[in-house]
Amino acid sequence: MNQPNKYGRKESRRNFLKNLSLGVGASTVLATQSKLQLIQSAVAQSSSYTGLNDHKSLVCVFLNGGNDAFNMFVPYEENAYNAYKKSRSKMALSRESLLPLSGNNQAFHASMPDLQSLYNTKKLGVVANVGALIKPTTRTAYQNETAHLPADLFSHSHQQEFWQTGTTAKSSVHPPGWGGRMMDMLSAANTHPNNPSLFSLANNSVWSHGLKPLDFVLNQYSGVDEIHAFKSDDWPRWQNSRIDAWQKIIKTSHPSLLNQEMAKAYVNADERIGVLVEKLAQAQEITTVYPKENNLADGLKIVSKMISIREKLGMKRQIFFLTMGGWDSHGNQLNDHSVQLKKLNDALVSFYKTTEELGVADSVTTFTASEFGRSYSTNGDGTDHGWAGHNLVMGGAVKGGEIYGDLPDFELNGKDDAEDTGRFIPKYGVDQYGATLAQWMGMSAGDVDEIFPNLKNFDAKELGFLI
Amino acid sequence: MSMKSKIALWLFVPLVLSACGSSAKDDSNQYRLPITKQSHKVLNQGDAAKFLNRATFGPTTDEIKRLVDYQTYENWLNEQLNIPASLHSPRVEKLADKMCANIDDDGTKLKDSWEIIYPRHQVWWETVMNSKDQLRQRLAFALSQILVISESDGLGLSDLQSSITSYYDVLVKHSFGNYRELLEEVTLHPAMADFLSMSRNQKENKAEGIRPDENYAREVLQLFTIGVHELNLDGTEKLDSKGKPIPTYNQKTIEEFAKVFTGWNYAGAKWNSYKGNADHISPLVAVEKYHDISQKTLLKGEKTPTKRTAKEDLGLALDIIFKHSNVAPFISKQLIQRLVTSNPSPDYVRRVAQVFNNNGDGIKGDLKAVVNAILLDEEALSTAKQTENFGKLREPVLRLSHLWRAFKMQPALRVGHRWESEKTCGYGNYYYFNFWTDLTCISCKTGQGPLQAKSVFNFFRPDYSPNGTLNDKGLSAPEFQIVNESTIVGSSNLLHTMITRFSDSKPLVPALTDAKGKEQKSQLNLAIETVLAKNTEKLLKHLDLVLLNDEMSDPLKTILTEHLNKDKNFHDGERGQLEKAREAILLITSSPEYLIQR
Repeated sequence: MNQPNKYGRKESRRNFLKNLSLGVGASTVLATQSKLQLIQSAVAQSSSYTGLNDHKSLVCVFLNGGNDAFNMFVPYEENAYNAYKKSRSKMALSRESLLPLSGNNQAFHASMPDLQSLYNTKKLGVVANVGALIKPTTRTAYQNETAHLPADLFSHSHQQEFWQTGTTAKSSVHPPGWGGRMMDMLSAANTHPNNPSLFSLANNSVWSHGLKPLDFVLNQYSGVDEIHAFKSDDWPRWQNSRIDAWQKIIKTSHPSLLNQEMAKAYVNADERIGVLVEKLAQAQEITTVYPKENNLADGLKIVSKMISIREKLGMKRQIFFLTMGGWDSHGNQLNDHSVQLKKLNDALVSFYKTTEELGVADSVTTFTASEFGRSYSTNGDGTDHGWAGHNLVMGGAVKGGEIYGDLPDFELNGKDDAEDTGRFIPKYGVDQYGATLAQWMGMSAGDVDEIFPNLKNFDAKELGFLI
Repeated sequence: MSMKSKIALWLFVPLVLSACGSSAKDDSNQYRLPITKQSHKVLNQGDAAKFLNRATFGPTTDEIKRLVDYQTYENWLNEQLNIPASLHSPRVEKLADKMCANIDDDGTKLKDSWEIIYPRHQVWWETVMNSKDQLRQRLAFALSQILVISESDGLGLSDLQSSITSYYDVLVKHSFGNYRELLEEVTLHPAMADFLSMSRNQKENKAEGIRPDENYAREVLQLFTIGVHELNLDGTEKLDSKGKPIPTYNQKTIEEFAKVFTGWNYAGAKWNSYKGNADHISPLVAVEKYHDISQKTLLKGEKTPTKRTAKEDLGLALDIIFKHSNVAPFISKQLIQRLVTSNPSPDYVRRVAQVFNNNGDGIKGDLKAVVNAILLDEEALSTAKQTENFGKLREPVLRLSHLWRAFKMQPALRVGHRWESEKTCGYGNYYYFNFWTDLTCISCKTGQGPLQAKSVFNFFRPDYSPNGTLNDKGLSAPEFQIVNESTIVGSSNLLHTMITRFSDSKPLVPALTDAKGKEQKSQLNLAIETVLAKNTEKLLKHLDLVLLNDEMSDPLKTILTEHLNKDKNFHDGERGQLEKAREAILLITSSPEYLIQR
């Protein structure tokens, strides 16, 4: 596959992977390595995970659109607050409205009282100043154009891909996501290593795509349904003959890769749905009350049901992916962002309470991510695409009640500003954030290095917010 | 007036409105492709069906026959290019009146409302089912996936359904017009202005810590015109000496464009008044005191003069964007992907992009010429020019529209207000595609509905590729971005239920309730198919043409024949024939062979 195809594209996914981990020069040496070998080597590496006996679930809540983290988590100490108020002008929140966090130096937005409590009781932490980075960089390097930067900064689609993969597509070949890569290896711990173990409630996400097909998309209403027309039944009376015909149809070979892809999607769905429907029907009733008209909460409720049947499914390690849209607050920000954060607060606290109800609070870690923070300067009615942002980590395993990482110098045109509009250069890379989570899931340092292509460029291999 | 005559009147409404629509400026009058020896002949019914899959919301046996009778595709296109536009707004407004969808609880008439979502979807589906201007409507749907706005929750437009409808009409009106003019009307439409916060964007005000909003500036470049990387005419990326893609702009460029798009407000509104009440139909109007009059450095270092009005700056900036060599390949390739194939060869893209750049009369951006070039290209018309991976996955909306068109979905009759059926707003009744599921929530099950994307990035990205072989080979398959366990099951159950439970061997007689006194539901008319099902071979031949362009594979034919001919499975007589017709439609429309449109 290293020959150019008729459209002049020659880079395959595995070349891509090799380039990530070995540098471009090595790709020709290894160009003959087949994908099968690559998967086999992933399996070989993962053999050390077969012995993992405890349960751990990782839950990613991706805030699509770029959360204004600087109004989610705000300086509260008087001088710092005043500087904030000056720079954020019309988008500044009033100090009286803020919910101070223990220590009284920082505060949460008024919409987050339950998350404030979780912080103050050390079940929730803040990971500050994280963003898309290939390696640490400076304002000078950015302005001299000597910095090695992620491609297409400030673009939603490209920065989502970077956050979820550590890089961006090259020659139309998309990289795998680090959620998927984690399960490629960790699934060895599960009783059925080839069964789905990475569940998305947000359609197909790059983050969940590893090399093995372990990702599965749940729906937020019932979790999972079957295709009734192709389900074993004694009605209509020709049902068996229909199923027989259908199985032949989806197993008919066809030269077109598009046809093959569609057939594969059907076969996968067919093979994987039945058992989940059966087990999910046996899930215990969740008594924690969830807010209504809150899609994230609906999704998290399904996640909690899935976690409750982990033993029935033979799960030791599993990952969940959810998204929440509506964060791109260019306009009407004060109102909209407040509504968004309220929904986030309500959904997350219900989910945390459920993990306590299920007795798994210590083995479920939830984290937020977003493609970028927003500009510190404002456009009068909102803020624009930025770079660094803060994120929340929640769960019994989180060393909560702390802020991890140094905050940026919030001065416009100051030492951490890329230019003069408050698009702050992150101090910590997504790779460090993800690597911390991967290590908690039990991954070896070597595997973590392989999954996070930029980690080698950072001194600290993890950010210390998990036990 | 009897019930029936009222119905007849209502059916007539779209035609009358279409006539009104033709007075709108749409550049389509008098346009003719020459018919010469070089014109593209319609060789057979299968080819005609294939063409109609790209140019309409789904072939029907009647339309296939008509196209064959026309002998050349040019003849059919000439007819389409001159049919007046069926605009949606006038019909949505009328239906909203009948449904009381625009009346507040206290009886006052609203300028706009959330409830107009019901007439909007009703009219949208009615239009794709029945309107004569199929090509125009199909192109408008394609454009709605490039110049994206959305009613989805949390994106700010859900309460502005009339505005959304009027935006869609801009696409309908300009589908055969010029992309540059379309772009300007889109830019100044209040729905887009709300969606990407272009309205009330103001010049820098240092005292108040305000600088211009970058939202529209960024997306107009990234998504509506040139994309993030420099392209060759054939749609492939230009590379620098190190083999890297070349950015088309940087953050500074965005900040400069943001200044251009300052100083626009809703017509008749004060700058700071509550915008929910503002006029969301008329184009935005300039308010010069909020417009940035400084010199702006735009693409490739080109500068605007200082002290220009908001409108002058806007016009010049759009000209500068439109001049960029990316526009032709960027838009042409996406339109090919929406209509014909996910992975057009660079040659195909280049041929269409050339027409985008020059329609033959030296005009750039003529969408009539572009769509002709797309549909008449040798790669589209000749299987010999296609690779084995040619084609595209059918979008959920197009699966549904094809099913409804091919098997004549007949709307049921409902009266009055949506929630309170006794409330009739004084008169009338209306047709409604009435099922157990809501038209507006088709996207909840399938992942797609008209103007219901989750963000400005559409339902799927043009370069999406599913995990596995397609991605490994650098091939795109955009529609697969919404294929997963959840949507496969949701789409299948939706379509299967329609086919097996909402279909009959007799046409529907519109009535308020069915024979059992239950509210009548819409249904497919399988009269023809039921008769044909007496003979499996005849049934399959008929379905092969209308669903599979006469290209049903031998294995599929064998599997279906064997299944349908197990007579002990099905009832005798007409009942069994209807069962067989449904069964064959269900299996074919679910099959990968059908789902990949070639």
